[in-house]
This record gives sequence, structure tokens and C-alpha cells, in this order.
Amino acid sequence: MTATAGNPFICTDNTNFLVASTGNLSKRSLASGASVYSVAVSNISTTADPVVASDYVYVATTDGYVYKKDAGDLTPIATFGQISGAPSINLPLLLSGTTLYVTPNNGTLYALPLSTMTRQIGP
Amino acid sequence: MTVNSGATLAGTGTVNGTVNASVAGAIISPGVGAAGTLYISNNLTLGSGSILNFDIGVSSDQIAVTGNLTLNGTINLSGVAGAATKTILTYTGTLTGSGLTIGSIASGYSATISTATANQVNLIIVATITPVWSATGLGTIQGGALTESAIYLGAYSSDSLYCRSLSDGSRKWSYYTGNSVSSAAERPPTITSAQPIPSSHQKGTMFSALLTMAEIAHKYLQRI
Repeated sequence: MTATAGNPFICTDNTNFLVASTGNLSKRSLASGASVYSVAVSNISTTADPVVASDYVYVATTDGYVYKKDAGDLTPIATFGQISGAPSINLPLLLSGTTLYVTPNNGTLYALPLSTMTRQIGP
Repeated sequence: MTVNSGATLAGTGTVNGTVNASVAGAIISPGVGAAGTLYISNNLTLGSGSILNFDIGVSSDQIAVTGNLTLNGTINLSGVAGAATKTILTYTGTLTGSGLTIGSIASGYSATISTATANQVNLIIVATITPVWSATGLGTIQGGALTESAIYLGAYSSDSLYCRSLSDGSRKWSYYTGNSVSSAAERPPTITSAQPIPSSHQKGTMFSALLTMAEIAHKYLQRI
């Protein structure tokens, strides 16, 4: 199967970038393209490019989910959805202040808070 | 050792031998009042009606099996206060069974079970994101742009442009881009004179117009 990759998002460290490709979210080196981390994300959208804010990355899927992951190691932090009807999220996620705006193809605009979710420390 | 229906195997330490919790209502609860590890020196069988009660926190309950693991039943989670990935069971032999179902968990969180890593059963806890607001009836949105206070959306299916407040999603104005305007009062007057709205349905043209409108509207709002 041929993979499709979306637009990369350059990380704030100017060392790596994040990119959505078929079935995967990857963090890769800007210098070499080598994979730093890669996690499987079912039905990840390659047109709703990943967005990074405050050390977290947000990715959308073609079946109505938005996932928040740690931008460092891509561990899962929070989930929005599944939106009723499982609409595809094809458009880039829009970020303003502390809110992420998501526009799936179901005619609805969602405003998602960035601050809701925390990470629990420990093994 | 067999755990009967309604009985609970609880605490820390080591069970020497197999543990059979295959009957419905058999309960295993590692730790006593705090997180702890229960060691089982041989196989563990969890039936579809068995129940695991786990404390999840900075330190979490765990079951360590030296042998085969038959994984079925329901796991109830207490103490969840953040996103985390926890190893809840380890085993040295083979893994069989249909897997665990998530039972109770704190409001605002959801969890999944992963057996992708050999010899581990991992619990992945994530927060559930609740929208601040949502706005419906916008058609099939083709593009969007932001200013400090508003979001501008172009919808191909309804041939319209929408301006919504960022603070609550309320309608500032909407504009029909086809042959007629739904209401002249629905758009800032500077837009039509400064930037004709294309009748084309092409996405690129629509999006360019959208960005221009966002810029014009932002300047307009700054003046008033």
C-alpha cells in the first residue's frame, strides 16, 4: 500500500518535525529525516495537518476523532470524539489562544479547550 | 487457588501456584488501601465474568504472573486523575483470551487496553475533551481563517461565508456568495465595495476570498 503524507509541522525545537502519513503520526529529524518517534493512529487525516501547542500535538482523523498527544514522545493524552456520524476531518486544525477550532465535514464548528487535559506521572 | 463468585483475592505478596478466577463474580484486587503488586507464581485464568479492581495513580496496582495469562473480564479503575500509560499485568508465558473490558473510570476519562507489547498488558488512559461550544448548520466547510476575535468559514455546499465569534460561536454575520444576498444587513458594508465576492465555487477562489474577507473585516472591526 502506498502511504500518503501531509504537510509537516516544524517543532519549536527546530530539530524535528511532525507529519501525518497513512496510519501513522511520526516525529522525524529535520537534518536527516530519520524517525524519532512513530505511533499508529487509525484513520489519521493527512490533510488536517498536525498542530503543536504548549508541547502537545493535535491530530485529526477521517472518522471523527481529534487526538492530543505529548509532542515529545507522542504518548496519548486526550481524545475528542467520536463525533456523531463519524465525519471526516479534512481541513487543517485552527489554533487561537487556548482554543482549537475543528471543522469536520458535518457542518459543525467545534471549539476545543487546550487546557482540559493533564498527564499523570508515574510508571 | 480458585476464586469463587463473590469472593475477593486482595492484597500484595505472592500466591504460590495457579489462580483460577474463571467464574462470574470472582474478584481480584491487588494492593490493600494503596497501590501494590500481587505476584502469582504460576498461571492466571480470568474468566469473562471476572472483575479486577485496580487503583491507578502515581503508583498503580499490578499483577505479575510467572506463567500463562488468560485475559478476560472487566477492570474497574479508581484514582484516575490524568492521562497515563500503566502496565497493569505482566506474564512470562503465553497470552490468550478475549481481553479486558473497561468498567468504571472517573468522569472525564476513558481507557483502552493494549497487549501490543510482549509480556505486558498496558492500560492507556486519556482525558475526554469536551467542546467549549459548537456551532451547527454550516454546510460543508471548505476553508477557514482566524482573526483575534472571529473565525471566517467558507462552505461550498451552502455557497456561503460565515463569521462566528471565537468566544462563543455566535453568529456575527453570514454572506451568501451566489446570485443573491440573503440579507444586506448581514455583512459589513466595506466588504462588497472593497472586495467583490466571486460566484465561482472553486475551493481556491473561495478560500482566497475568505482570507481577504477576514483581513478586511479585521480592519473594519478595528476602526469601529
